[in-house]
Amino acid sequence: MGTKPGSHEVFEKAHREITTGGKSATHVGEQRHKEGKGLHDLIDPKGNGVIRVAKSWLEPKDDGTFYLLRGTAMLEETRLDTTGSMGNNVDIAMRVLPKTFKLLAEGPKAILGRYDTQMITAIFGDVTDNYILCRSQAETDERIAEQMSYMVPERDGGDSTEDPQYGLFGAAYLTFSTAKQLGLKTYDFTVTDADARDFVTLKNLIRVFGPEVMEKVESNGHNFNRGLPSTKEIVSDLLKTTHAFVLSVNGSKANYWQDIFGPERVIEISDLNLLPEMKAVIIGLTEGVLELGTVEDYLTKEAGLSQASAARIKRAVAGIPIGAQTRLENFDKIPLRGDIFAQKDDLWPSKKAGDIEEESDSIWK
Amino acid sequence: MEIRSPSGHIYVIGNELGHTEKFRFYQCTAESSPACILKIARQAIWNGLLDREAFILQLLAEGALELESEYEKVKENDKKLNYHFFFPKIIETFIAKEQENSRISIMSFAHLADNLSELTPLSHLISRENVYVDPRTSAWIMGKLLTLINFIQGEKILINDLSGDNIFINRREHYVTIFDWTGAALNIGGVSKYLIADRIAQIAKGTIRLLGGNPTTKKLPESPQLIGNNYEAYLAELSAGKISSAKEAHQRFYDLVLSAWPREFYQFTTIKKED
Repeated sequence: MGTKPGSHEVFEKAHREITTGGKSATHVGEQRHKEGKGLHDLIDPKGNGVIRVAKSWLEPKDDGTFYLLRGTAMLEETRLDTTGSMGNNVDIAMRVLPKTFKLLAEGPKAILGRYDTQMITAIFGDVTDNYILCRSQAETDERIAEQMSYMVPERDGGDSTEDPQYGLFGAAYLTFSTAKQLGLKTYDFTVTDADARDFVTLKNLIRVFGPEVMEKVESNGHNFNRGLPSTKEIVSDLLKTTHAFVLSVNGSKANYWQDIFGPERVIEISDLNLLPEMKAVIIGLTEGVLELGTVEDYLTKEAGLSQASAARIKRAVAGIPIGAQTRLENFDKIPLRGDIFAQKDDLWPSKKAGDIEEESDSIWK
Repeated sequence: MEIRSPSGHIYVIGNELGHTEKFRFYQCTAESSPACILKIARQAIWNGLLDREAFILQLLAEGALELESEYEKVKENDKKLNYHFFFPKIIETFIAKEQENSRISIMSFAHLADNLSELTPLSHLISRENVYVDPRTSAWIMGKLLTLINFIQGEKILINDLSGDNIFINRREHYVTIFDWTGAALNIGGVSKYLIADRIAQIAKGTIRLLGGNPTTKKLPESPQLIGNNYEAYLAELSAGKISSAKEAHQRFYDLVLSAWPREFYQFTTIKKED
């Protein structure tokens, strides 16, 4: 994670370069797989320390203190089904990444403007596949696209039921975020047209996350004294730390997911090219940045959608828990861009940016 | 006291009618509608609930209008569906900056009553008026609630508060309406059968209670209007959550009622509670 954030131009350039000559967005990762090299360490769930970390970036100052460079880190994880007809979802996600980033993180109208938006991309398959899960690091710059290119979508999936529950497991128990430490929740999306098996096995957890998976889970503050959790229990735990949603492609298996996530968290998506707008509106409504009365205006003006598409999205998302983030105790108290921290590991600032006028030039330049 | 909305409409605010943990309700008069309620979020964190309620009420209004229009084309009599009686009409919803950015919704009940005092929560019959209703009176209340569930199921909406505090009636006009829709949910792919059966069971239990019966044993008090135990048995079946189709529950209910009692307007009739 560097000091230079991404931008839609950066992601457009990355997409152009990765897909030059009509190549698939994931040809790099697929080539690695063909050569028997396995998953790249950055997107292998067992790689790079297993636990995914979305921490706020504290930049050192000359006086030995630190300042919050881009706001509190806000994680957005998207888990894409890449089985069967969902096989080109990474291609779509990479193509729409510039718009996703623009809507969420760029400019004065950015939905997550007060935060440092960090993204994890994951893809899931079936336990019969070579890879049940690929999961990137939490990134804020061109590495989001780079790590997407390492993914290996197998476009298979065995039976009609798939295995996103391992990805949900990772999100629930193998993720660390500053936002969670501060008492906020991060964002989690599962995009699928299938249902899931209702359990995880230790064998597959080890296969996905490595032999130390249980130690990692424990070191991240969780334990399974009463045995491995069911898919429903995993989601129940996930919802303690994230605003999690299922984007059900054409409403397929929506009833299954409504039972697992709750009906208010399952949203029908008919066109995955609308993923950026869907995510922006869901997050915007949850953060209190948008309200239902302004959604259509936002989508037509900021995202360039037609009135009809905007109305459909509004209808699709109207059932979510609107304003859920605003109801969390520390919503209005979190550290903001420019706040000063005495120590690198401090959670709360020693000075707010607004209290330090004489230093503000150095902070903002 | 008056409040001006951002669109320039002026509302005259009357007495506070009640409050919950999240909202306050005031009597209110709008230029276009005298029988209004002003509902305000007690904190801005509850704004979203009013935001969605306004959206749902708009959806219901559009759905009711569309179905009425479709029915108009095929009906062979002068009947109307009148689904719009099941919910208030949303006049306007806005953020009031001077009220610490709380959302305000203005809702009209003018299509249901000339005066808000004509609307009674079902719970008040038992708790304040100390009365139960007779079986024929219970039948129109129960029947309309089944019609309501069938209608909103078609709109993929699930109502979560079907308590006697949230079901209002106009006893003179035989209107049944749901006062608060902030707890309603929009479900893609429709509402599950389990939840439909649960909501039907809730209103059946409420009706048994309204009759002075016991929702646990499902026994109704004796009444000369009850010949045989068909009505009691059907309410028992519904309250056990055994029927998961609002359409089926509704159809069977009306078949039963029409076979038991004449098809005619029946005045709202109560029975004094015995201590």
